[in-house]
Amino acid sequence: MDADLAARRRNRLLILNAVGFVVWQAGMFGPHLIGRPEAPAVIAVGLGGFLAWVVSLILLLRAPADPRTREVLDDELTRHNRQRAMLAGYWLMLVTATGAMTVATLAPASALLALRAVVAIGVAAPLIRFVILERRVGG
Amino acid sequence: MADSEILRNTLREHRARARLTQAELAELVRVSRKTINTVENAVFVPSTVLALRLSQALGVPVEALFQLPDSPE
Repeated sequence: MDADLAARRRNRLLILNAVGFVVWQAGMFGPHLIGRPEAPAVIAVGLGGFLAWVVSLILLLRAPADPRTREVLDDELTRHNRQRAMLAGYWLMLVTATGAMTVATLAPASALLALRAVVAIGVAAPLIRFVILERRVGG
Repeated sequence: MADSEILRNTLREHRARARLTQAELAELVRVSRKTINTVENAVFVPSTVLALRLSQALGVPVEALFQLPDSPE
């Protein structure tokens, strides 16, 4: 597969993976809504997110057969962008954790929900930032 | 971008002189076309290894390809 094409495919899968994960985590609010009419819809959307996350993860883990494409998909610029994306994810996760801590000091809040928000941001932010960086350089 | 991250380069001129496209040069040095493009546009500062590979592929000294911003033209 052409390396540019493979990079674009990876970017699309990374977006799907990030969105899937966030939707899945948001769907975990469903059980808290039991007894309310919107609960089944929230749970169903969450399951859809989980499915999208699993499928995209499996496809992302399948390395291209061509060694040249594999090498190019992990070249110097890609590693540089990945490093910058991880750093952006770290800061956003820290901001989210600080926000959750602030909310928890002002009102009673569920630790599980706060952790879900921190983890969702920690997973999705670097993936989305990576795709933005890759697209900015023509990916 | 900090001054320490800026590197002037003449990669585009030397690549054109060698009659290579970005994709062909990328193939020679085993990186993506995007990487060559970002180096040429001074968006990305390559590692020493990549700089040496580029100089080898184009048959010019590395100093002819890359210069510090405050070095004489």
